[in-house]
Amino acid sequence: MTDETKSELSILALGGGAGKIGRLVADTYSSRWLQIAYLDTDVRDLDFVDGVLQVPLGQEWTRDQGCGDDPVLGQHAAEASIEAIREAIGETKMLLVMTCLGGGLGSGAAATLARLAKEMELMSFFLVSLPMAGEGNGPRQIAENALRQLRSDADVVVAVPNDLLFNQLPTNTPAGDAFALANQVFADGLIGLAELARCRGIIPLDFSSMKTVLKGREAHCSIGIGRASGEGKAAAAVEMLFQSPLLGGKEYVSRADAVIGTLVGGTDMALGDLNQCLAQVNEHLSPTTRSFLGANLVPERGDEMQLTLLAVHYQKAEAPASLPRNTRPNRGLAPALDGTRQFKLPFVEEAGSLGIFDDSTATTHLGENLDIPTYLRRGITLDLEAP
Amino acid sequence: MPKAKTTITAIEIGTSAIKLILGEPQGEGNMIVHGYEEVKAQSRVMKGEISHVEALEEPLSKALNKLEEKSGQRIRAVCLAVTGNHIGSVNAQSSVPITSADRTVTDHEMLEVLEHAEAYSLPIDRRSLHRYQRPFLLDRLRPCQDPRGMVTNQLTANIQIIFGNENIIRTSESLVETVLGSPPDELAFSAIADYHGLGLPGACELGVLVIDIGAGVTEYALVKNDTCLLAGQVTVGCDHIANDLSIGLRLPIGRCREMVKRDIRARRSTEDSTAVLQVETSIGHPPRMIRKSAVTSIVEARLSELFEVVREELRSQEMLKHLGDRIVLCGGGALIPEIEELAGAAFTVPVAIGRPAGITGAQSGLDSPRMITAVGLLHYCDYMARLREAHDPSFRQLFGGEVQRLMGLFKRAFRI
Repeated sequence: MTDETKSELSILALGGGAGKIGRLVADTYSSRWLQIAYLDTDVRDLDFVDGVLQVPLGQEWTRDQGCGDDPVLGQHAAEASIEAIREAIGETKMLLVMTCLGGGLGSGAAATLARLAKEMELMSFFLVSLPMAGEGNGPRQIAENALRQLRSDADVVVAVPNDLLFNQLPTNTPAGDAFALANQVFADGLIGLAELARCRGIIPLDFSSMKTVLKGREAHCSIGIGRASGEGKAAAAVEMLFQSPLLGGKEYVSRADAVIGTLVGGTDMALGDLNQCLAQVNEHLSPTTRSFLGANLVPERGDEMQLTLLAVHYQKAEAPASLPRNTRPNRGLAPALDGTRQFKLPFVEEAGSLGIFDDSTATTHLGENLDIPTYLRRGITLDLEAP
Repeated sequence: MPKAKTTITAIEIGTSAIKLILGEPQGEGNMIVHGYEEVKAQSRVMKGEISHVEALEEPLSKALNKLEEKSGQRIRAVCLAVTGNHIGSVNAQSSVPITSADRTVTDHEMLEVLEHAEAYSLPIDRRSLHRYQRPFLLDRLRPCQDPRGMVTNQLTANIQIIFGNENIIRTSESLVETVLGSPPDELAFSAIADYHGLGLPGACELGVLVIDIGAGVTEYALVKNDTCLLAGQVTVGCDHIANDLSIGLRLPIGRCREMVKRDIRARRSTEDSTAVLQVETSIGHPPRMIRKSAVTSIVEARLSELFEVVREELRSQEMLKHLGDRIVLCGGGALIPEIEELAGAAFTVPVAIGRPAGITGAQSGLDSPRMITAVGLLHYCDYMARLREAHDPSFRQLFGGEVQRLMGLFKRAFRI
């Protein structure tokens, strides 16, 4: 590790869910070459996450509480603390933000951070999780709106649906264990992707490749980690990789439009292990999949090798150009006709009165009926009556 | 066709009101206003489109008579604003290979590629309202204002066509024809009228985005070097804010329309969480106390989304790079306090609230973003009349051959 790499990358964990992952990153890797900061409006959550730089956001807006699933409040909180965030980012060349979309802070503040990165002329990379279908329409709508905005401002957005958890884990897995495992995968994935910042070693790869694959594209990603040491570690790492709960399995990876992978090992990693590892990953890819694989040696890995794989699926199923009136779009998991899984299939549900627009031609944009009040579509809670 | 120095009457039939201004051009883009009149549209216009044409005849007729009385002038040339969700724009593109040995573009090739682009045919139910010649492209890559003498393998011409639905436009025209006895002399898309009403022609070397937030429709036009690169509309306006408030706060729509005019602001502030708005609902009922934070949450969500939609339209057409040094907000929506900050946050470009430019005379009450479209119609009509005068037949007789063809193209491009 050099001083050069030390100032290359700054990680921001935005919101409570990401804070837990940030702490895992700090605990697991004592990541000396990474600069990690945890940003939140809820001071109780801030106190819970130690070992990283804590940045309280917008206290005058939220009075030290959470954002209450209000993305606008999250945006204001970030904007009010923009100088503190700038200070937390510090002197770095790249910004990696981890957040969970669907709530208030992550959904509202992510685009603000992307714009700040642009202003600071930093390359911005966002790893975001999307709410599960079971969490209801509110979080899903909030997440999709936030994602749309984020994609236009950030350099790279890796959006990982939490629904992938259900694909891989047995149904009798305790819920607590499943989420803890997901957090660990995100933490490992975060580190694996962060390695791109210093992956200039034996097989160079950097964030530009990721930008090529993801910039401005609507895509869902899945992420997997394989880690092993000792004899036969290459095969073990690949096996573990494909069992990662947020990767979606071998078949899902084989249908990916693009994959980006990093292999990180200790300085004594053998050429055979490296070859075997990359060859086994390539075996599972379709010939049409664009693959970008890089490898690097870092001393702190010792005997261990870690393989991180990001599978990218471009969204091909678009919402219909116009929806029936008095309807609003929704997104959910639904089986496709060929039995494969598709992630964005619009369906409609009855909405309430459109007020004065009940009898007018509906105004639609990207499948959304704009005549339905925005606050309803974005799930903003109104605190109506004064005491 | 209107001639320069005659009086012009601007007619803007909007969702909330019909606005009329009678003015007289003074040359150099200046205009004396002799009078203006405004009547409520009273729900006969929805989302910028006339929904009850016969019911509009009487109020329009009365308003025009009043305008003649007040101004002491007769209605002569008429310019009508056009808007609604039927408005769209398309880039008509055509390319020709440059096959000469030295691959240098000649007059002939430039005219040929322009003719091909010009020949773009809209669907039969669409009518072209404005045409702007965008920069040529050399080898489909390098933009160029005048390609003659340039070396390239391929020359591409781009003409931006702003169009509307023939039947809807014809409905507006026939309303004016029924009331005045003749159809309007000029038609202009509202955002193009705004561009003229702001005095921007000749003053936008960097791209300027004009956004007009009306009661029913928000129109936008991105103009650079006096060429409209993109224009369009989002059928969302201040009525949507009022409707959102009505549904969210459970208040009558009339009361919410009043709130939009005086009680709201575009961005939440920290004081909103404790501030309270006392709202009279109906006679005999006690007033309701509503948190300002709830009101502003509704407004901010709607306006943020509106700017996001416009930004997304620009992004999808790869036009954000042409957004230069400013955005100008027009229409009644521009009067909402702090809306410029909200727009600035969405586009990260300085935002100004527009005011009508280039008018003198009876302008009391006209110095408002609400009146920019109507004032712009006067300027647009004058601009077109001067353009025609500059290219009248006696002038054209002096020239022949290729220049005549160029004139023909020019004439068609600007609907002369």
